[in-house]
Amino acid sequence: MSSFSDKGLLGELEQLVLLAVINLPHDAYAVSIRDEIESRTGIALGRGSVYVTLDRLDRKGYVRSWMGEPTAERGGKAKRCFRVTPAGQRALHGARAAIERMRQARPVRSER
Amino acid sequence: MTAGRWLVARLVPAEWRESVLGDLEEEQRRRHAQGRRAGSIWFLIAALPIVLALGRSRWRRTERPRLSAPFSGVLLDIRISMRALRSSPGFTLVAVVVLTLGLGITTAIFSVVDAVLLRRLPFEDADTLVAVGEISTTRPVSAPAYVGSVAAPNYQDWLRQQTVFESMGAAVIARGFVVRDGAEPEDLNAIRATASLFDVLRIRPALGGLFTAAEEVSGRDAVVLIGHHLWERRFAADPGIVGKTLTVDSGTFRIIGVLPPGFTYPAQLTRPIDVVAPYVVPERERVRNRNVTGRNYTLRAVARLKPGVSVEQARAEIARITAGLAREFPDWFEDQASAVYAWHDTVVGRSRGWMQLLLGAIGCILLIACANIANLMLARGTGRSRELFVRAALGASRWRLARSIVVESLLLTGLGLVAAVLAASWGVGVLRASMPGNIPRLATVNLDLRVLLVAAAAAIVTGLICGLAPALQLSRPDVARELRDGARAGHSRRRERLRSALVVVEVALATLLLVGAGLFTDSFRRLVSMELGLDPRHVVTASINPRLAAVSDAAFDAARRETTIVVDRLLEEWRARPEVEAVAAVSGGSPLSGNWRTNSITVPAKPEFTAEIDQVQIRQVTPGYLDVVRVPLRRGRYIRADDTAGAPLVVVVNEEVVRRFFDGRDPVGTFVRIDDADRTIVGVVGNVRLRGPEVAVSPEAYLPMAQFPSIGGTLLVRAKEDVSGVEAMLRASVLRALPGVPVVSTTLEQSLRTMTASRRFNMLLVGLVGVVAVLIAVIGIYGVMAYAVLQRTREIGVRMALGAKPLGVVALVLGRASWLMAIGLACGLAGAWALAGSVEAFLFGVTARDPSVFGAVSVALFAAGLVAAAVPARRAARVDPIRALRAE
Repeated sequence: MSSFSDKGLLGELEQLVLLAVINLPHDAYAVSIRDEIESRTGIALGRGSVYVTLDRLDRKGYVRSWMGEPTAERGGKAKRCFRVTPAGQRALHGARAAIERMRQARPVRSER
Repeated sequence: MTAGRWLVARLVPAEWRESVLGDLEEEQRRRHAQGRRAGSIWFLIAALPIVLALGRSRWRRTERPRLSAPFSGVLLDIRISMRALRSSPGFTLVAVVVLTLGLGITTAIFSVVDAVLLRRLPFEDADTLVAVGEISTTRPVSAPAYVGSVAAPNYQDWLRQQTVFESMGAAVIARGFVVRDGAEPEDLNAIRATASLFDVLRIRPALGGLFTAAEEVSGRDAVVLIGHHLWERRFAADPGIVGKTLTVDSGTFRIIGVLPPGFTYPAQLTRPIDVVAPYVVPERERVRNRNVTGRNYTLRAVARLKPGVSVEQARAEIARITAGLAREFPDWFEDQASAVYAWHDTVVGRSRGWMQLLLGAIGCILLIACANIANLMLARGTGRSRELFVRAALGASRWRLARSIVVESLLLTGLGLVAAVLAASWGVGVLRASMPGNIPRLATVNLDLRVLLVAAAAAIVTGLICGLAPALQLSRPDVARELRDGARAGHSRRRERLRSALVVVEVALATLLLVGAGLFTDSFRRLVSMELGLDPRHVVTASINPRLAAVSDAAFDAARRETTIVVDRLLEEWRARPEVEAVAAVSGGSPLSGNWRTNSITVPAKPEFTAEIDQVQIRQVTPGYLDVVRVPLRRGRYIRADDTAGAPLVVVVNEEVVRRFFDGRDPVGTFVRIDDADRTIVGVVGNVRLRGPEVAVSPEAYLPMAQFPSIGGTLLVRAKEDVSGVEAMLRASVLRALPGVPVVSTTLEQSLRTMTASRRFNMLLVGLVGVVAVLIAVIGIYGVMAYAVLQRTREIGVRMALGAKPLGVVALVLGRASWLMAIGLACGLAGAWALAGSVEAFLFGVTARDPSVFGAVSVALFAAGLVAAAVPARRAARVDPIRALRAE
């Protein structure tokens, strides 16, 4: 993966959020993403970090967003929904592969 | 719109705004459905991190507006300073510790002093209140603290003729308010006040109403206001209390209201007022009679100035009215004058000198701390001058350089301030816990932020000036040359001299404070180790006070006989108990209670009688008394059981009587006349400081209680070992034997502690001040010596390369430190000598120029200074010459 600059690398938070967006193909928005991560990992992310991460992923082009329909239970406000872009998929794979390769490498034994 | 929604709408970028609001709304509804709290506060708390996160991310992306030029890069400066402070932890730690001690402890001490002594009186517009009273012209001192009570006719004339006061009120301490219903009988703290007193002090009742002038008439005066504390204590804060009655010895009163919490008058009283009843001018005080002995000075008067009237004008007016009265009734004013002072001054007047002393000490601490900060900043500036030169050479403006120093010293002071606040609040807690309970207004002690601010401002200003000095010098020197001579750069003689001078000042001030602390500690040590002449350990006392108001002589005699019989029976019962060693009763003032009674004594061998001098304190005692308190017998015998009413009248005197009235000759067998009866001296006992260790020994006479009956008194029980439990038992058995008589029980040791309480408090404060001063000064010495060594590393390296021994290097450093300390000590001791007069009044058993205190302080301070200098000295001795020379 020599094509990865460090801009393309994903942080843990970004990976978690991306995976959550993939797991919620029809209804990925800030609240459901946070719930998804908490219910599967037990990690309760701060609201601020969820939004900032989504904002960053959006700017990097890893997710695409659109405004949903306003509903009454949301006080007549629309959701901002997300789905992962092919670039986001690639970044996720790349990050995972990089970690795997590092993990498989054996430390060089020194001579005694 | 709630705050949270407003924040989101204002600060979240447009592309997020609607969805964030919707998300939060959705979550809020969900929480509501789960039955959890989710109000506008929840919304705000949930929205805040989102607003911060998204707002910041936008801030980063968009072009930031430039700060105006002089302040661009301040954040960078802060980051650089933080890094610099972290990289020299020693300097940072020393500076923060100095600031913590200097600001924190002084603030704590001042907070306590302020609350106890300085705080404004707890009344509305207390600045316009004045104490109006009479003052004896025979008294040598005329000060606010000695404004006395007013005679009722004078008060009324002042009230009628004055034009300077908006209102004027007065009160007398009232007796006979003993409640005997319910559980324990209690002697209530009562005053009788004019209705106008409420106007003057602007008192509004917590419940019910106040009485009016219409009730200041005999027969209509059976109404009372009760204190808030009494209401809670005795009436369980009954909201329907108004209209109920309170029955005490002097009658039955209708309760018309409850006073606001904490009300007390006169202000010197430490115990809150329980009862206020209307003041009725006694019949015989309505007109001035020619009989001067009928003068009765009972009224404590206070007035509120009319707007625009000064205390001086009021004083002049009252003096004018009094002069008019004096022409009419010369007998009444030949030795009395009027006095008008700001009420606050009359309350804190007595402690003013002590306050000034403490404030001076606190100021010294602050000065030491500032000198220390100055020193540290100067040293640091010197150390950094190379860095500054480099930056200047690279084109940094003077302003930029100065600003980085400003930022650093502000950062440092901020750090110190945080630690100081913590230290101060901790200190206030400790002081509050260690103060004796009888110090007034203890509960109101809180951290005083004003002092902290003043102290912090002083520290910041010092830090800035001393930090900036090196940077501002930069415009002058030749940058290139300075850089070339880098290794020795900044070692300017002038600055070094300044720093040495600062150390000298610090040591001098610390010496001054330590001498003060030493004197106070020594006073206290002498005080508590003072021979009292009696043994207060294991003695429990119970004072019985059957105060009977308005009864006939016959009834009084009957009550006295009855009490005597009961007391005898009690003594008998207690003498038989296994845990008791001895029991007795005394009347006329329990030892260490602060009460005493005097009587004239006429000695046949020394006939001339002078009322001032020939007075003895008399006490009526039962036979076991001198055994219980362990007063040693010098000659003759103690009072015995056979000194009954019918037997020859006898008296036992103390050694002071022998010294004063018999020129040391053996008086046993001599007659003296006390209370109009000739009595034979049968014994001489040791002197006892019954009124506490500070009061000089008085002549005393002990009379058998059987031959000089009295009503009430104090039972004393000496327990074999531990007094715990005995006090409660004694109290209970007195209450059983004398139902309806108020009992106050304590132990002699407790009484002694109460008597020495204010001294212990003073010693604690001054001791703390001294210790802090020395700590800061020692830190200062350490800091300066450490920097000096660091700076002279190259020089020391050269010396060692040339053959100087490590010991010689140590001597070099220590010698310099000793020299500075010696000068500082000399100045400090000289100062202490000069200021001796201002502390003399607060000392006990030691003069303000006590050589042993001066000596001990010099040795202690010098030793501490040497220890502080020893650390850098050791470092100097370990300098590796090769590395020192190669370093630059």
